[in-house]
Amino acid sequence: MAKKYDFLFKLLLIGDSGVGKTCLIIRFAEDNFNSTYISTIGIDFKVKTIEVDGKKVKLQVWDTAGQERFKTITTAYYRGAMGIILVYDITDEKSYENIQNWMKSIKENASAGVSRMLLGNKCDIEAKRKVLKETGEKLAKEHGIRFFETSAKSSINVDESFAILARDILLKSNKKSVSCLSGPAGREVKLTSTEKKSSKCLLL
Amino acid sequence: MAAVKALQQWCKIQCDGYRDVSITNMTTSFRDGMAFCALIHKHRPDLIDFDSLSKENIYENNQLAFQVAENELGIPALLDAEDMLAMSKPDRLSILTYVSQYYNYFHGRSPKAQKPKSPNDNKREVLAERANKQGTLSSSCSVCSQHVHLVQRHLVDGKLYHRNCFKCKECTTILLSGTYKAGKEPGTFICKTHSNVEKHLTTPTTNISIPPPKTQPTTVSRGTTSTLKDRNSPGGGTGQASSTPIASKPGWLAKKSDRTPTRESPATPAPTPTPVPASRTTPASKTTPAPETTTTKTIFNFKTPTESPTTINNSLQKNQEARKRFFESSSNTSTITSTSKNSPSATSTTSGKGRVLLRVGDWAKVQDEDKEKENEREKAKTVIGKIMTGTKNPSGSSQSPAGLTGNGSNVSSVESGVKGPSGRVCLNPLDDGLDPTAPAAGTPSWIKNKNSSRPASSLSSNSKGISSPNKKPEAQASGVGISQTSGSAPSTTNASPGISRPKAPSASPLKNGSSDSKSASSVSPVSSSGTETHKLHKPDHIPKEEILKELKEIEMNLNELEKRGVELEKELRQSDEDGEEDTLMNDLMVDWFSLIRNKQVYMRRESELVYIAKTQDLEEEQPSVEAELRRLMEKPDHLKTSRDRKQEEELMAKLVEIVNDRNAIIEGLDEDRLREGEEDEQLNKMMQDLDVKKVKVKRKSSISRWLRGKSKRPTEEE
Repeated sequence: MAKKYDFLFKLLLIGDSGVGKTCLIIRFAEDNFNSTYISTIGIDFKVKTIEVDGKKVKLQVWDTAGQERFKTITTAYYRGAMGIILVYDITDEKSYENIQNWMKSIKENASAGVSRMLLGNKCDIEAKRKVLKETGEKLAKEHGIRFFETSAKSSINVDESFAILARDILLKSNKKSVSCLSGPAGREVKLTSTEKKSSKCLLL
Repeated sequence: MAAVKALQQWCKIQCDGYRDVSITNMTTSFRDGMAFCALIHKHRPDLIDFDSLSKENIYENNQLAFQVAENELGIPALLDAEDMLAMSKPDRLSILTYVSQYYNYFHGRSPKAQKPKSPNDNKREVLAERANKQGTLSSSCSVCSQHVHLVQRHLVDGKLYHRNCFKCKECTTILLSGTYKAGKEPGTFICKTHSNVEKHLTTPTTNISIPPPKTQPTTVSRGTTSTLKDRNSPGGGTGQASSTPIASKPGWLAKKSDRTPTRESPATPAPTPTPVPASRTTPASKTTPAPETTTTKTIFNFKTPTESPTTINNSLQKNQEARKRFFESSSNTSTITSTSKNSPSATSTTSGKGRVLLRVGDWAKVQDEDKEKENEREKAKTVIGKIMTGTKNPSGSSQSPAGLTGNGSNVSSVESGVKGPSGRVCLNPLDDGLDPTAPAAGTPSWIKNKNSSRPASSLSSNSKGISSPNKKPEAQASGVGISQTSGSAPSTTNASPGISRPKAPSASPLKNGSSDSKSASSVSPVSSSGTETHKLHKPDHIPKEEILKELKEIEMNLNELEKRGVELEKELRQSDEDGEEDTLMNDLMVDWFSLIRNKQVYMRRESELVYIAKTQDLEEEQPSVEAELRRLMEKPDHLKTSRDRKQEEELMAKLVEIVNDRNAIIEGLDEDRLREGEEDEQLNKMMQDLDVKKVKVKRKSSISRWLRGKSKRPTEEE
């Protein structure tokens, strides 16, 4: 029986209001784009299964509202995320400056060791660019995370960035499951797929 | 088995240094209760005054530990202090299970957590529940005081009932696990959908009640919430994720009945059903399982690991439980949930199939007809159980389906209770013919009925039909629900259930089922195009009708499998009694396993479909709630009335809830996937073992070689 997928990863997109988080997700999950701006309320998610290193990875991508008033709601979802994508708008320097705050938010609310990635969105609007690519790269490097400039509208780097993040998480989880010598009850449900350990951990 | 050693080691380390505690094994070392107390004290010295304990007070020590663990740590007491006292050597399995709960708890995971558990945890929990409260067990129903047979056992709050007797006080429909809550008077129960305020009931029929606005004043959002919840919670009982208690049609609707002990379907692997009855018998025969196991017939040295049967068992049960849990998680009575959770395995069948459509009216009739078959099945199961446990030593066999052997002793007294072999007796609320407003008669209740003209009733645990969200404020009516296939479909199905009603045997429901699906499917395309309004569905959206259709097909297939399973069991039993050659048994076992495999496949597909349907429902509901909320949010503040604000809050909560529900489905699916992976492995392993055995035996006799030629090779299953 072919399994539907081998892994389930939860990703989370955060960033200022209007930077394009929802559009990125819609582009990724539905290959669609809506130029009308509709602010996200609270939280939502979309699912898509992709192939990474020959494995089927189901990505549950959470979309958070960037508006301050939804902060309480959205921060509750940080903890469950395996990968967090910080998004800013290259035509809006404030959104870039706030990345620092978003980073802090991750530190405070997300699980330790969560994979991160920085995206500079709306790279199709070169004319209105306010943040240089190098600037973004530099910031990402400082935090030791990957960086991409993307465009949900023109579908630039969207699939790639998600796939690469998924891969990072996959590699991380492989490393973890290998080194995880479980006790009687140890078994990571989410990160390990059906990689069975030799001892079944059955109490029978 | 390394896990057991590891657990023992952990205990040893934890209890190191404690006076009078020495962990040398997982049985007698725990008898005086000091070890349990030490374990608790080690992590929570505030809960137990260890210094004041003496190892002579066996009963008191155990009692203390069990109570403290239950009350303070949320670890249900699987063991009984009396039993610990009475038995010189406590039941290893029970101890292991119970101690593992301690491990889980102190090692960072709470046994009560709603989070997805690892399959191992689940297994343990299942075992734990199986080894549940013995000693105190009676065999008389708390309602009618009659003797309760194994298959009829239904345990709630430590009290025993006939599944049949466990009814809602308000509407007297049989309550299924997860669908009830405490009634006004202590010791009584009512359907979750009933409220204490009667005035909301608009339909006169006993079975159908309108979902009262749970416990709060109704508002648009709340209405939907309660509907959703209602839909969920009644279904909660079903492992099969069907949230409707009854099924006028789709068999799985009746899954609720799953929860009951009678649930076993013959097609279930022997180990599966036996442990379940075992669970029930375990309490009663707790003190006797050891002796009983020694009398196990050893047909042949069947190397099947006892884990396998148990696991299949567990996994199937698990399947159901996980789903049940998902649906229950949305219920607002957490206590009920935990109760039902704790007793599910006691009541729920591990038979994946467990679909029994309850028939309120023709109960007795069904029972009689089914009793015979049930009897047969039970006996067959026992035999198989015995085979499986084979030569294992008492402790060994007591582990695995501890019940297997325990069941054996009870076989003779087993009468089939509720469930017919086919498990499906088309159940229809008595008034189905009368009630034209129960539209989705054909469709599972958990499928929202979009048709707002219907006065909607939400399901009470036994009523058929669909809970119509429309009862609740129309604000959602537009977006809510799936475009219900037209009334014609339901009415067709309405008719057929009616026909099938008088007939108990699966044959008729089967026929009806198929005719239903035909009519439904033929009708639906026409109607759906009409009813489908706006939705631009995603490419992989499966229309409701198709889901239902496929579900029905699955049900039919499962029925077939069950029938075959019954026969197979009989054969197995026969050969067992006749003392047939191992080879023949082997062949039968191979067939048996293939049957199980097929069954699993169907069950999984079924649950997947249900999940898909639910997800689609939610996804359809979301935009409308969101739109409404947005509208409110955009209103300038000064124009907002307090009602508006309130509604805004509620809509927001509702929206988050929908998202969380969708998330829960995803997580549930993932759990299932992981669990199924393990199941598959184990099944394969068992089959391989069988193969190995076969090869060995083959050499012995040429006859067997001939016989062998006929049987299916398990590996072909892949």
